Amino acid sequence: MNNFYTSNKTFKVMKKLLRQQWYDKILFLMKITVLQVFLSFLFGSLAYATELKGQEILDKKVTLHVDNVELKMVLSEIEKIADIKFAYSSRVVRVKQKISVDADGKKLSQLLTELLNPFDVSYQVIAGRISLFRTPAHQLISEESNSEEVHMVIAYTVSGRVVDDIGQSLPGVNVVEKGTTNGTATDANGEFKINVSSGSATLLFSFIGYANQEVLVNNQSVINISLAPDVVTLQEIVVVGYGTQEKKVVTGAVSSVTSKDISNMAVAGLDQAIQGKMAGVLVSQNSGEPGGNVSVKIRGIGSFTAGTEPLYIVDGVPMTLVTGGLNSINPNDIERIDVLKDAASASIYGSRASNGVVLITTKQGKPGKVSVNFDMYAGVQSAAKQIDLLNSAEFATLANENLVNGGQAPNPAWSNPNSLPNYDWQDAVFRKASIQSYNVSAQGGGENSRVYFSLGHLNQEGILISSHYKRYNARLNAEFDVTKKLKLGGTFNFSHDDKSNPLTNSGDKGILTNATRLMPMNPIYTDQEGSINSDFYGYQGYAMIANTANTAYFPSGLNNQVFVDGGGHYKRLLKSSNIQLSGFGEYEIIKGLKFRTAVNYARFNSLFWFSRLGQPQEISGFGPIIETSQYAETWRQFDQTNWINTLTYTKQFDKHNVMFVAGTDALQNISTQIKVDGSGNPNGQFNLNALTSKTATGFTEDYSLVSYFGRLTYDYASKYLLNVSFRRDGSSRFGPNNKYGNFPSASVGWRLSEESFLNNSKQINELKLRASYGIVGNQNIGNFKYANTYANDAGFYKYVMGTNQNVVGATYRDNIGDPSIRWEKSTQLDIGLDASLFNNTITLSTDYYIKRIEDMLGSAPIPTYLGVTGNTILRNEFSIENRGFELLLGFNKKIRAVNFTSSINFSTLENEVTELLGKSTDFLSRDIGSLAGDNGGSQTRSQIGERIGNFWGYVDDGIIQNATEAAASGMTGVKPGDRKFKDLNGDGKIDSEDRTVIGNGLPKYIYGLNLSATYKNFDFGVFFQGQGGVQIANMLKGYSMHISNDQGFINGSSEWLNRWTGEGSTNEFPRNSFNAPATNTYFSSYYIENGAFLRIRSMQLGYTIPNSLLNKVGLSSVRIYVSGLNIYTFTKYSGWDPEIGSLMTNSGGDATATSDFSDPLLTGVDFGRYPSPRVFTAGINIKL
Amino acid sequence: MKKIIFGVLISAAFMVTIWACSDSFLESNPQTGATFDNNFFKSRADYNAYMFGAYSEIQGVAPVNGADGGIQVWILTGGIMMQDITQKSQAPYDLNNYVTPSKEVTGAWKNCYKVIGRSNLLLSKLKTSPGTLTAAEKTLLDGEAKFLRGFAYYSLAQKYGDAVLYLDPYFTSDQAALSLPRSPEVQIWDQAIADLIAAAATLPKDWDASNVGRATKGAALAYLANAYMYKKEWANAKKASDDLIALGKYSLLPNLRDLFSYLTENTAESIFEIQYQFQPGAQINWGGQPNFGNFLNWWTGPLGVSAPYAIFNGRGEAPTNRKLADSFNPTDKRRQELIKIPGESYAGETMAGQTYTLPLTITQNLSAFNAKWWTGAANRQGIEEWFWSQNLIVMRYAEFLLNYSEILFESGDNVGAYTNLNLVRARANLAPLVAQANRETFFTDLMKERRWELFWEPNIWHHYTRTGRAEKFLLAEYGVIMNPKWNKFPVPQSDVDLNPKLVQTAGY
Repeated sequence: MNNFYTSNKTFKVMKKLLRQQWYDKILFLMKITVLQVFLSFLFGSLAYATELKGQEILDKKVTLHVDNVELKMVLSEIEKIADIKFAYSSRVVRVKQKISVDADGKKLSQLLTELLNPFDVSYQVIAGRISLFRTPAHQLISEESNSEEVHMVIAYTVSGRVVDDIGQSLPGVNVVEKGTTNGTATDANGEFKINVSSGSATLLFSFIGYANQEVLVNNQSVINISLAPDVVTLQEIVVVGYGTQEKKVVTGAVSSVTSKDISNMAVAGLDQAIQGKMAGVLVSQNSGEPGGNVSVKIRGIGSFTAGTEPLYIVDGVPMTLVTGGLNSINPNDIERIDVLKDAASASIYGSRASNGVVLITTKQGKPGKVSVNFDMYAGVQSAAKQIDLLNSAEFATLANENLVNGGQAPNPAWSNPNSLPNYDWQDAVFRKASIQSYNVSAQGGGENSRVYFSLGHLNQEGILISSHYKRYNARLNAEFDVTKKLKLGGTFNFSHDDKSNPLTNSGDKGILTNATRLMPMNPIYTDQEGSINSDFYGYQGYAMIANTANTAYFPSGLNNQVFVDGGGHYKRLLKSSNIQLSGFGEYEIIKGLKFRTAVNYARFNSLFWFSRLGQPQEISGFGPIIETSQYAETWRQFDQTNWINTLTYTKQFDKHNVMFVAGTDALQNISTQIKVDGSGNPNGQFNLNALTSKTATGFTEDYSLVSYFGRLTYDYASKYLLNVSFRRDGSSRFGPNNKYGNFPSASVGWRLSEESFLNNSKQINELKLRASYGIVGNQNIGNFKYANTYANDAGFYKYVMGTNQNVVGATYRDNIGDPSIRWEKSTQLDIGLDASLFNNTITLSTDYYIKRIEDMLGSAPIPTYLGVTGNTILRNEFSIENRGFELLLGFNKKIRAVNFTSSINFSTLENEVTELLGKSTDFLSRDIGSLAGDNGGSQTRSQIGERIGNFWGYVDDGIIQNATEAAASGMTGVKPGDRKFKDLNGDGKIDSEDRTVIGNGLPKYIYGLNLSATYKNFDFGVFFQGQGGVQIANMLKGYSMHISNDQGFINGSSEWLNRWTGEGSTNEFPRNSFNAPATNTYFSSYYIENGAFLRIRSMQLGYTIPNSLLNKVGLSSVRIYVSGLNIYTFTKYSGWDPEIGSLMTNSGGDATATSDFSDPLLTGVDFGRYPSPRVFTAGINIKL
Repeated sequence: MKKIIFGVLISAAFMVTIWACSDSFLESNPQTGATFDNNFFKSRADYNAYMFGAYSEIQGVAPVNGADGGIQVWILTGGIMMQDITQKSQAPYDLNNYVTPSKEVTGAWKNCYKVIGRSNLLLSKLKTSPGTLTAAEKTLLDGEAKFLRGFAYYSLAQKYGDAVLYLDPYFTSDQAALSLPRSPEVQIWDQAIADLIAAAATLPKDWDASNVGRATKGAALAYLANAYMYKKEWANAKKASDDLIALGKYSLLPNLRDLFSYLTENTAESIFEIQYQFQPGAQINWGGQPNFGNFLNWWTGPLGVSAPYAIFNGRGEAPTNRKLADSFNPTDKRRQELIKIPGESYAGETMAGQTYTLPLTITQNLSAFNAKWWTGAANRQGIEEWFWSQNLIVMRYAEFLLNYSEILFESGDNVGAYTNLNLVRARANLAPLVAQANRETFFTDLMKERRWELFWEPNIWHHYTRTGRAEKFLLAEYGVIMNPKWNKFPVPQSDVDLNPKLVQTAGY
């Protein structure tokens, strides 16, 4: 009986084959080819293993003695004893009924029959699970014998197919005619056939983990439905460190995203998969460039110098985070992402968990039919916004006014503004760009093996010229049950990416900023080669500013950006690959006691090419256009070896459930970098051999970690929960006395809903209180910081010797090691509540936490007379505190034919600097930088008792209207029409002492709202994301606030049209004059803008093609969809994009490949960041 | 049961393996690229490389607020104090604003201590970790390190007076070092003198061709004579000077251009010279080390001169004041060859080749340009970009002779004083002066000659403060009222903030 479906299916396929038309055959052949090539060929072992062998399961011997225990408990006990899984709905099986069992080595089949028969419950092995359903009086007889029914008049036959929300077949779904005991279950293809009493009967579909659905037959003969997942799936398994846990007994603060949440979206990267979806997790793209770096901050900023990024664990293996490292994971491969936010759940990862832990689980094959999934989408991307700049007529008028107001002669070339040509430089650097993504995956498994395989490709152009990103992924996950006790498995993951991006977020070195600075009458392209006039020179189709141009009008350092950074003068290309190989073995020593050992190896490799082409002297006088060529290659490699051993013991006695995990984890990471840099490459080709002179620099170094850990999880009747863990980490990054750190934690939970007073409540289905406390650490400070080290830095420290003036290498002490430096320590208290209400319609999860980070490492200044490089040493003398409230609210209900699933998350973040350099009054400043010229010392200050990274500057007090105000302004050199500032200390003069806190770039609250609905074959989703209580330092104003300086003229924003023109004209924008004082552009509250936004992050509409149409061509599911990303942003911010992450350290030329981390103290600073594109895509998802 | 024991034992074995290996596993060493304390300072090559690191600290660029400026900043600072260097957007310099604890004037403090810190470590390692060094090598390295330290303390005493005397290599365990006070100026001079005496005793007169550029006996003697001059110990100053002359190594070059060209370096007139060599692709590093190229050339190039002559059309950041140019006798070769005014040509490039309409450029038009560092196209090596190859002579025979002239005068030999003064004048095509006994006349003559000879060089301002003539000079030449506190510079405010025992220079 249990093999019935297999043979039946084969038979059906054969019949179909005979019926097929030629096009069907092609499709069928394609399907076969995919299967053969990807699966059978690669791991032929599966070919025979894909079919079910249910009988073996039923032949298992079971010994069980219980007395008067709920059926549910008995079943769960049998699950453990026989290592099987039951699937049933509690509506069908009365699980609270108490029974007694006395079995000694009984066959499972026999036991089940004895056990279930009295309750009119039958069972069937489907897809490796034992599905339970109510035995109707006339059921479970082969289809052929249906006609023999005697006790009931067969009025109506209904058939159909049940799929899940993403279109996968659901086997084992109970289908019951409502109000009767008449029912059946779906087969391995999700198909069912049931005879009901009449055409007006109602069918009730139920399946564990999914919301029940009632369907009125309404005289239909075919009913295809999809079941929506139950949002509160109490049996949901959450991945925790070194193991898993049922969600209902989790006591820490864990946020999860599953494949179901992202499968409908066209997601380009992991970051997009989690952005805005979790409370307390702030995901911001540091750059909107394709393949761009993303910063993930869990519960605020966790460190000043040792990184703020969480630890990423992929299938148990720690990832080394490098630029674009997250891109090595294909978002299509992700099964689920669990984020451990509180210290108690993260502390099992000890010294790397201070910023939280992100656990990524990739898809694994499922027992059952092999399914092949093909996804593709293509779309177009564009800039969502352009800044309003002056056109050439406006600019020329204002520029001459500027000269005349400054006592200068006007420029005759600008005297006839309306005759000037107008070019839109901003438009010239932006473009419409394509994006395409292809993914194919195959997964399947038999009783003894499970395999998942996927290939993916993403090809994305950037919306700025010359930028692109291409990614190739391959993954193979496999698991084999060698014997009943021994399991072996492994993962192979490969990714390769290829990206090129112009310099952005770098002030007047960036393409975007410079596009706004170029004068609008400067031509962009030209047909002429060579000198056009004294100002312009035609080169390769571009109109370049000639070196004979008048510097009074043409600023040095600024030339045709479409050429310079658009791929003409500078070329940058980064290619990296990531390989991960993991293998594990798991052996069950005795029942409940498992030993697992896993060896993981990862290699990251990248090569960065940087080239600056030599240009003719005629254009070399301006800015970065240099006549000499430069070429550099930087090669980086990381090798990470990791060995993890765990011993897990699970035991249940009476109502006590105990799980104990103990283990060791050792990790070694070796990194190598080689850079060759040289000049004299005449043709600018990517060829080291062509260089006439070159220097090579590089290093190889390693670090290692050794850890021991243990965790005890205990619950009493799933009601009172306790979790205690401990980890001891040793790190090579600390001196002999501080190598080891201990990280204990404890958490408790109480499920009130299991108490008798709530047990039968219809309103409160689940109610859990949680509290946790723990200590985690941070060791991410770079190697050898505890030791005195010497370096030869070819870049800076060299000397010149001899009559031939040979450059000789110099060594210097680059680190004054303090052997007493130790781990950063983060302690966190978390109190939370989880609830599920009104028949699981509403779910709620909320947390409040206090996270104290002490002994934070940071640069401590020491007197310069000690002669230390950088005048700083590393000290554990900084402390901060983050506090926040998090809320996740879910709503899940079917209203008529529409299935609504919605969730909203909201979180707040307060932070405070509590200690700096061991003192209780002080501040830590970071220069925002003078990329915009003289701005009077723009900086952020992190002061004790204040928030981290406050913007520090003058307070804008409007415009000086007349001579009296000028005299009273406390500023020298100002005239009416100039900007004035508040004299905060009242000393009658404006100086640096009058600066104060004028904003902060870290949002005080973030939120996300996800609405989705399915109706018949349509699915719709919209996702809003936003943040508030945040400011942006719009450094672009440093340029737009002056159109002239001592270096020539630049274009400005259209705000200039509302400039001050006389007393009372405006109090916003200063006068237009060549001799305006520098104070007009001083960093003040005028730079600070409201950074709050609400963004329609994504929206999609999908349609699943009805099965009746698909069966013909042998496809099991086809969904087509259209989707949009960053569709609209509601914001008051005047720049391109209010989503500003942290400023990347970027030293101009070629640092793009080596700057890995952003500076958390420079959050919310906009220097012309690459804006996130608006993307519209159309896609198709096909299942074979 | 057996199975259980077996399984548990296997598991335990795995875990114990990690346990047992952990200590050695956690021993991590840089494989390349960085070196630990205990495996450096082993060989002559190690010591040499470290010594070059100490030399490289003097190269410093960064004429920006408060950075650790090296010799290039000192040069700018001296000229700015004299008002002989202007700034394109601000002429003359507002010295009240310039001489503050947050500006360039503090750069030399930081920079000298970098040199001292490196020398201290090297001297200490010579004692504790001589490795494979021979006795002769040890002596030589000791002398060289002491020269650099002596030079640094000399500069500190000259610029700041009282200074922190710290002769140990710094380690974080040295808590006392964080609260050291400033020692009296005289102790700083004495330290400089002690180091320079030791250096003069052990350094060679000349180095072989591959080591030219390292400190020599002559350099040590020249600074020793200088230090005594500051201390007004005229007999000692004369002794050191005579010892230098006795080396028979130095002479005035007949051709002035040979002093300021990348083509002729480490000449017979050069006593101590900072070495630079252009490196392709060098990027600017504000506030740090130059990429072993000279930055002054570009920085001082006139604004608006086209590319091959001044990269990026000339920065024009630091023109020379026209008053300096006008102070020369027109026949003076130094005026003709080393200063250019608009309308004059240099190396084929005509100044003010274009119409100036904007006020900032007009300021430049009224300015002059020093052609000591801005050397036009003729002396630009190949494809130099930001940094040029031209070395900077920090101490040369002409300056020595002028100092010697002062030392002789103070020793009562006014004839000898004028003889040496006239040697410098003769090279500049000026008629000899007749020896005068009048102190004021002599010093007027000497200081004029110093200004003409040593403008845009590092010691010039301190000759005025040392002799008490700065106030008069500024008022007479530029109408600037000197604040007496400018005789010594303020130290970095950050040091005062970090160490309450360190008292800011009087008046700041």
